[in-house]
Amino acid sequence: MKADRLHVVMIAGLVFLLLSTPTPAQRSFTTTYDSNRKVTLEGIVTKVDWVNPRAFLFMNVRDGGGNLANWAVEFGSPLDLEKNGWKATSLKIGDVLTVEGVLARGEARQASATSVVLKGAGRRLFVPQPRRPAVAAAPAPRWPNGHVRLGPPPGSKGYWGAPGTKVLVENIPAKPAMNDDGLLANIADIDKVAPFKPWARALYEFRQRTLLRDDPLGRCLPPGGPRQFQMPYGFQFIEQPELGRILVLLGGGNRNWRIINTDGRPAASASEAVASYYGTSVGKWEGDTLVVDSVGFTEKFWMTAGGLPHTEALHLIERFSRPNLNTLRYDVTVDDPRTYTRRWSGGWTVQWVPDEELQEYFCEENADPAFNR
Amino acid sequence: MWKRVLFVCLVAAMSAFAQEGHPLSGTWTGNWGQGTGSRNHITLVMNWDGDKVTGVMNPGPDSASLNVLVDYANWTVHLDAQSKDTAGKAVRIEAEGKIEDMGSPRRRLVGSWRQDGVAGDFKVTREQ
Repeated sequence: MKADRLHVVMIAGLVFLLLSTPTPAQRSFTTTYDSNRKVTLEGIVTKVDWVNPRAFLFMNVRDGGGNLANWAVEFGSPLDLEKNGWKATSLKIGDVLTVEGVLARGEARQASATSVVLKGAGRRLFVPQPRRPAVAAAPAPRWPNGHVRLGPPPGSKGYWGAPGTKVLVENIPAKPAMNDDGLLANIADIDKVAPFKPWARALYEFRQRTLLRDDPLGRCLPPGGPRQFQMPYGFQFIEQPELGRILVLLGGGNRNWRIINTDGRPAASASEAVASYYGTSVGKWEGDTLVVDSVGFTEKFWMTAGGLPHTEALHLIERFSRPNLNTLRYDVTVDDPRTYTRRWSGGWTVQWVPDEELQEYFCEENADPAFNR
Repeated sequence: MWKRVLFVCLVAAMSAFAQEGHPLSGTWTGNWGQGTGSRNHITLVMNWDGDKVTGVMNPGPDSASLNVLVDYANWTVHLDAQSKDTAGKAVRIEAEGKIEDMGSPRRRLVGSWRQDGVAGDFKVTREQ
């Protein structure tokens, strides 16, 4: 009996440790890799790890001194690779490869491949297919009552895919230069990002200077706020007018979903709403634009790549419009008087991916390549 | 029994996920004292209201309101409070600390502590 209890306490302790340790599960490219450190590796494949969100191959590489070491090489997302016709079997254990890429920060034997070539055959692997030429955009589909449909036209499939930008900054003429991870090209441009209060500016600068290493998304927490529309694997609207709601299904956020109530209820107040990653949302149509008012956000997420902070006072006003079949326009007004000196707005467009469904994506699958060694 | 243990562990683990808003907001626990000698438990509860950080030391019947000043240039924090000792005598507390490991869910506030003429050091860890 005592041994049973000891077992339970040990297991519980292990669960606690696993859950409470902020494992850097899916750090951004910027946090993980140093683009200035190029590497060429020649070696033999020992393992292929074809899991979301990042596929890894492991290879034995002999250094100049003749010593053999095992390297982890990231070479893309299985979802993207499969779209381009590649499979887990495109590479076999024992294949001899030449890999060019960039090194991980620090001392880890890890690289992100920019080129993978099968030695001998000289064949380049995992090359993306040329993009399909854009077709002339048809008008936005509509419901019988005249409202724009945010989902696919009747009888067809599709979802919203790649966003026009992966970062949220204020709509100003001279936007600051950033990479896709939200890292400013020039740290002196902080004040062009948003009208920060001093604490928020200092915190944003800290996050930038530490290369976004503490991003909660890296621990596979949900992409709350506007970030849900900037994830790599898209989203989909399921409109249910008979139930007075619109569901937003997220392809890039561990199959999360969000509910926008359209049944005419009044907007919630932040003090009444239970704090959550996606907030409590009420939407209504203003002409061809769906206007969504959301409050009740937890402080446990970054609302965009790059580390914009917020508090539980966050109030978002989102505007969705569909000027044509292929384009969704997303505009958001950020209203958080504890974090920003005034309301401010940003936005982007998102492209329609026709004839396809959202694919399965779970952040945790290969939480850390070290686990797979 | 074991279900209760597991539940407590899970709740504790969930609460360890980061709060990404104002870095001082939340509950901090730790102690102050002189060196490795006897240490005095302290709990600080702070909140950012949009204009200033407000706070309470040792919430409950013996609580004391905290005045909190933060220098965002280097994330140093000045705390002062008017408390009472066990005899009911007024005791002034002043502390200077710096936030360490700021991006962590369990960031720390570490520095010097002066209470009723006694100087020591303190360390509190964010619990929320």
